[in-house]
Amino acid sequence: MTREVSVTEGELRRIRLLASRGGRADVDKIPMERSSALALASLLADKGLVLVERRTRKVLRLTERGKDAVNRGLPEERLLDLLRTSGGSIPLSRVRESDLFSDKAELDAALGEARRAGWISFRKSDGETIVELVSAPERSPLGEALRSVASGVQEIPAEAASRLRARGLVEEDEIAEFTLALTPLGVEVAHGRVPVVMEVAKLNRELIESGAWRKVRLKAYDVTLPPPTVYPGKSHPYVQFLEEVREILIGMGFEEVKSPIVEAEFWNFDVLFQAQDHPAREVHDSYALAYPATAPVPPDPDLVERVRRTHEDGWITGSKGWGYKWSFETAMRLMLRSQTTSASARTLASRKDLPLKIFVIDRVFRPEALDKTHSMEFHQCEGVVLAEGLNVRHLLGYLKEFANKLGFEEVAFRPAYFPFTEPSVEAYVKHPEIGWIEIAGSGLFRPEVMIPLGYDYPKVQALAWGIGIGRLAMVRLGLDDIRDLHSQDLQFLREFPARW
Amino acid sequence: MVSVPVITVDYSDLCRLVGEEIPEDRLADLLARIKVSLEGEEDGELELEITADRLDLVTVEGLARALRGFLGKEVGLPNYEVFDSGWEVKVDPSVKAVRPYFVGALIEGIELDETALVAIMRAQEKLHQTLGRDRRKMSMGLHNADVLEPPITYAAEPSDSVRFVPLGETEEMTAAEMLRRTEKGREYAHLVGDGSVVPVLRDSEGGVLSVPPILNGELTRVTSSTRNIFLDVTGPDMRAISQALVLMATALAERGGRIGTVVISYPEGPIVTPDLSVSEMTVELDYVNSMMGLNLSAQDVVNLLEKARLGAEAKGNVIKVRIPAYRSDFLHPVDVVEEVAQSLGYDYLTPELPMHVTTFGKRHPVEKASALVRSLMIGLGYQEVLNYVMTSREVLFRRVNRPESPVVEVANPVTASYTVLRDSLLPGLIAFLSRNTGAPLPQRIFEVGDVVIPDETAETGARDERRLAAAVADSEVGFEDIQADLYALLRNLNVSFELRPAEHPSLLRGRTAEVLVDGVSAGVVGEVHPEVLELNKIKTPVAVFELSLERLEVIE
Repeated sequence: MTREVSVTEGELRRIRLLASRGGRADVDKIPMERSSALALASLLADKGLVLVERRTRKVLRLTERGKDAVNRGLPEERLLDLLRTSGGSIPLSRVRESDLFSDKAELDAALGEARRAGWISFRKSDGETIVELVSAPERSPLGEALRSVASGVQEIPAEAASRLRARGLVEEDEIAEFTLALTPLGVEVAHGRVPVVMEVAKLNRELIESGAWRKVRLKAYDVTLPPPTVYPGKSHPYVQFLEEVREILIGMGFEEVKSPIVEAEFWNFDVLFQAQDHPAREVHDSYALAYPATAPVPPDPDLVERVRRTHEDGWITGSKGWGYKWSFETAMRLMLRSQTTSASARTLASRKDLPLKIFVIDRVFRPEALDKTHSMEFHQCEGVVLAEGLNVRHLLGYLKEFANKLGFEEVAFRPAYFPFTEPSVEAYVKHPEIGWIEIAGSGLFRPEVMIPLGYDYPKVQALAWGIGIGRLAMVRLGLDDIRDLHSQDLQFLREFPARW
Repeated sequence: MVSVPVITVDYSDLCRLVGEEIPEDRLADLLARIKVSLEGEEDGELELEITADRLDLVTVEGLARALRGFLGKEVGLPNYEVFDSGWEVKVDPSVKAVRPYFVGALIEGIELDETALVAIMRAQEKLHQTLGRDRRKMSMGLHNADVLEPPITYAAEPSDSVRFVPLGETEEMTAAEMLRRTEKGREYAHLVGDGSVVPVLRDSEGGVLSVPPILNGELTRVTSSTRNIFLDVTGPDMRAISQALVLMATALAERGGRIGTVVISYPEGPIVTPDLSVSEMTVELDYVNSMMGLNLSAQDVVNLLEKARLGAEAKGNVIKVRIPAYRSDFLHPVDVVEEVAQSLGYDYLTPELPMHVTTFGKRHPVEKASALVRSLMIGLGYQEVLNYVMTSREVLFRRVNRPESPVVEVANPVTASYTVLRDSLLPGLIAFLSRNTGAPLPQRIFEVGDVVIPDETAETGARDERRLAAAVADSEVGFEDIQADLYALLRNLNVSFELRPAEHPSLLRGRTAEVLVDGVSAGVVGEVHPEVLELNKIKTPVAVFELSLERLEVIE
């Protein structure tokens, strides 16, 4: 009967070592760490090359008191030493006063042990108890036994062992001992009488280059064991979502544009026909700047003039205007962009290459205290389609297409009010769990916006929509705290799935 | 937010005014068509959010007026008969410096129960908040007209000479005392300057109606037995007060009152209020159809406008629209188009993509470069983080040992943590690491984002700059580690660069370098100074770099 045997080089070395020691050895005698030796033994046993015999053995171990007694002698030994240096007799009171014993219990033990052994006796003299040395060995047998344990000898008389235990100087411990014994197959392997296949743990360059991999067997791993945790480099989940939105809009033919964070009120409000006393322009709805406070470079004076007149009396737009005195200084005040529409306005002012489809994904700022549902800084996503012959139904068409591409099947529309669009529309989508959620405000730019920007309104129309994209991101990412979009928790980011 | 008024109305009162029980879900649908959203319902009261352009819907009477149109119960222009009350209000020149304008009306023959009284007070308060900007631009008062003897005088008087019993008080006091002692007095005292002179409304017998915009007098208190009401509206803005007067007068007319005009005698000459004259606007059918993408007939449009309580008449393809005085939101014929769309209902507008608009999508060059840089950093094993652009001087300067320098700063911060805009990404990354000292090492993070640099040559006094910053925290990490990643990044971006020894207040001298591209600094790389680590309670060394994508010339 032949049986294929596969061993690693290390295993073979150990088998030969065992064979050289008569085929049998304690695990402790194998020159490697005990735990590794045991693991090796178990592997060899699985292969039927060794038998592992387990025995338990009782051992004596010194207690803290025992260690102390080894250093200083047993209490009774200390007592005998005192007697010897005091001429063989000493008043008990002086024994008490000596600093040889840590407490009364130890003193009593010393007196009791020495007396029981017949080494000392007591007598009375003038009402005082005198301790006298009778005859005593140089060293006490129990002390000798204790010192042998300390020196590593385990074989001491059974009676001494039990007394040492009783006095709390030693304790008994149980240790497991393993003996490895070669099986007959192991012996055959050790002597090279059975063909073996060499087994290796890691495939390496040498094995491949030398072709030795052909002769070896790759050890099987337990592939179900979990590895150490690795954190890959990864994009931020919110950024990933914004990138997805960006891809959708680019796919729909939109071109991305930008505008400065520090913006003149002119571009954030005035061009968009928001009256200078409009509530949204009050201090609690946008961030005014302490520094810098005023835009150093005014916009095109012709545009400024057209905007002024449109606000004041409607200019040639066909509008009544707001009927107030427009202020250039107010328009030049700086603020933090409160809506991405400023980017759209700038683009409409500078680009005339129709048809034009643009989008913006950027941060806007509003004076809010940061909490679970409010943020002083959040992202908006905005799109504008600028072309001849556009109407409200086209606006709804883009909104529906965009919502569908974001994964929302059902879309509904409602009339709304925004200062710079007319008609204005709010778009809602149906989320399977949350229900209807508002995703976009939109509309056709008002003539008071379009005509000052130089467009042939109503022939040319601009469809515009804006999305609080952060809220949509929260829905998609399953977050209920807006602060998580800018999480400061590294583990949260590391453990957030890359595909949610 | 001021721009989105939320009002409370009594459900049964609304139904009573509409003249029909409307089930709540149907009501919500109807309201949505006039941009009103039903936010909630409690104890028979509805919470409604209306839009800033439709202040005529602030009153429950106005809401009912609009709903009757949609339900077809009453269409076209409401017809308010107006009579001459014979009352006069004399405006003394002394008010010019205090609260210059006054308008008023007399409402006769009204019957108000407690519910109606509450509704009117609520509407008045809501108008104060919205149109009146918390009474600054406009405030109004309602008075029991039967106790008054016209003519009424509107004049400014020393506040310690005006004696009256303020509404809700039991004893007489001077206006000066009223400003100090009553709740409303303290709340609105700032609207009358130093309070030494206040505007006062008195009748011909000297009885005090009101000290606007603060408090009425107990003398003219309106109760459910009041039948005739004198309405006063004051403020510094003639347009706002006239609008408020029309809104309230027509609302009271919807409750059955008759509107009487009052002559207001200004030093410059008399005017008659309220002015309920209808304005006109013409709109072309083609314009309506082209904006909506529909093919309605002129008669369709007329019918739809009448449902919206407008007067409408078609002459060929031109529609003449008559707009009631309470609708101040018509600036341009486009506003008529919206009325048509709303009356029709947006559900009738089928979404459609315009086949004639062909364009090509494109990523912004800054975002293109950012995406590239981001992918390389991820390849190098870094986790992306996303900090706010807003931060504090504490985080931006003090916690990283940087000397303070001018940065963009807001004038109206809400909290001390967010007062300035970052001009560097590194302080944010260090703050991030300081919040994550317990997380497993190594910590490799990066951010791609905008910083804002004050720049007097920039159009708006500051410019955004797209940057990349990275940080590695580990039990052992140094310059050479981050430098290797920096080189890997820049080699892959095909950037020619060199390093030059440099100093940076947050970084260790001798282990800090500037990244030079064409001899110009494009960023910095180095080991964070242990002092900065201590300030941030970071227990491990940290190596960082920050680069400007513009300076690297990776933006097309």
